[in-house]
Amino acid sequence: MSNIDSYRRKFISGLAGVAATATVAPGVFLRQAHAKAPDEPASDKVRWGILIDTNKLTDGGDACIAACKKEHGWGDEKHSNDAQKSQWIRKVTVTEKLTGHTVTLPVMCQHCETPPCVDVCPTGASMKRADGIVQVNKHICIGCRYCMMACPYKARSFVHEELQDQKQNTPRGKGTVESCNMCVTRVDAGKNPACVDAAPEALLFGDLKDPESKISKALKKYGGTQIRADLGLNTGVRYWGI
Amino acid sequence: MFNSYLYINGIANRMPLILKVFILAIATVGLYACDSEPPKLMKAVKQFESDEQRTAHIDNMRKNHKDLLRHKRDETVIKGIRTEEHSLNACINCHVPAKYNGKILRHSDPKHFCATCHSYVAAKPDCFQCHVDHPVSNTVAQAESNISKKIQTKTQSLMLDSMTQVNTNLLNENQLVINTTNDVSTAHKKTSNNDPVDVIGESRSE
Repeated sequence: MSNIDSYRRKFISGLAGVAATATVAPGVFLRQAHAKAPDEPASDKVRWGILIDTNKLTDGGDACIAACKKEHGWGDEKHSNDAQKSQWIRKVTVTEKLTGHTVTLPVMCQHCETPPCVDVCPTGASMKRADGIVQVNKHICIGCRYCMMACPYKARSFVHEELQDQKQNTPRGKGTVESCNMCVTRVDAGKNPACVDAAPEALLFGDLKDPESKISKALKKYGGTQIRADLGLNTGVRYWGI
Repeated sequence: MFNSYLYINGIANRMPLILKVFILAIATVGLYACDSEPPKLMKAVKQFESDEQRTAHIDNMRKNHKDLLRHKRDETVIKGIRTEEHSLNACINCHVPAKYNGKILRHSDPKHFCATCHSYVAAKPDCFQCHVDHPVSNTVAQAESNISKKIQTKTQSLMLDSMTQVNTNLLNENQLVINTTNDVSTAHKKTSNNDPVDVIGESRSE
């Protein structure tokens, strides 16, 4: 590379840095502001992710599942059979044939960067927020269940029966698809997702775009496995120990 | 050019008086039938400090609540804007009592704030197929923690309609809720002030 080119590259990257800091309000640095103001829209300057250390999950994720049920109120559908009941997060046990080594991991929506469920949705109900959270906009979901078929992680469920007494922050209803939304109301309020608070020794939540965040540092140092990395979906949920 | 005013005037001039009286009588009866009373709504938990604010709120919401809710739902789900203004949860927490005669008031009951008008005009809202139709305790505590005693006393003087007795009972119940849940709301504030990163930091410092 010629000297001029390298000079130009430095200059442009410097400009980008200036632009990034200039967009933030005076005195407020986005990286340090973990709770966004209620009237502030989700920003694409962050991308939320979760790192799960399966070696430290002694119960295989039971506490996370219980916390998720409590937070969102799924799993107690009275008239649905086991195949129909909602499951936002499930325990998956994998055994390697050669060694017999068994790993149990909690699997939920992996919050892909390029989510197949969003690709196939005919109404735009299956959506990715600016901050990388993949969720269902149930207001426009028609319940076609294409997204359930497209998801390689089997993360989505369909509500088969009329519900009442839902959680106020988690509206759920018959005829719509639902899945882990990374506890979007908690995240917007600056809190951790419920599963992360249920097993803080094994789960880490943070901003994947911020190189100074704990999750980014941990991933940079030790890496993190994606499930079905061959699909190239660049998941927001990463694992250790699988 | 054809002038409709002159034309009608011409007919009216040639019309016998008895016919004029008859038409007027029919019109009056018709208009009287149109002037029916809208259904009485349940009193809200939180009241405005002035009658002007209250009237403006009622006028705005009667006409625009559907558009405001629709706009807000997209803002909330897609952009993550979670202000209390025009939020369905905020409406419910203020307008629907947590318990009514010891029971949860469902949207299928015509006494439910939304159902009162919607059943009157036979328009079915879809909101409650997914959204909960009554306040849930900890969110109510949050919403009501801001209500000052001043507004509460003002509420009693504003009770003008025929439902006064019922509403006083309701208000007392709600005041009880506020008194008992104040501790909860402050406790909630304490936990929410914790920096989430610190929590992770402690757990992952090993």
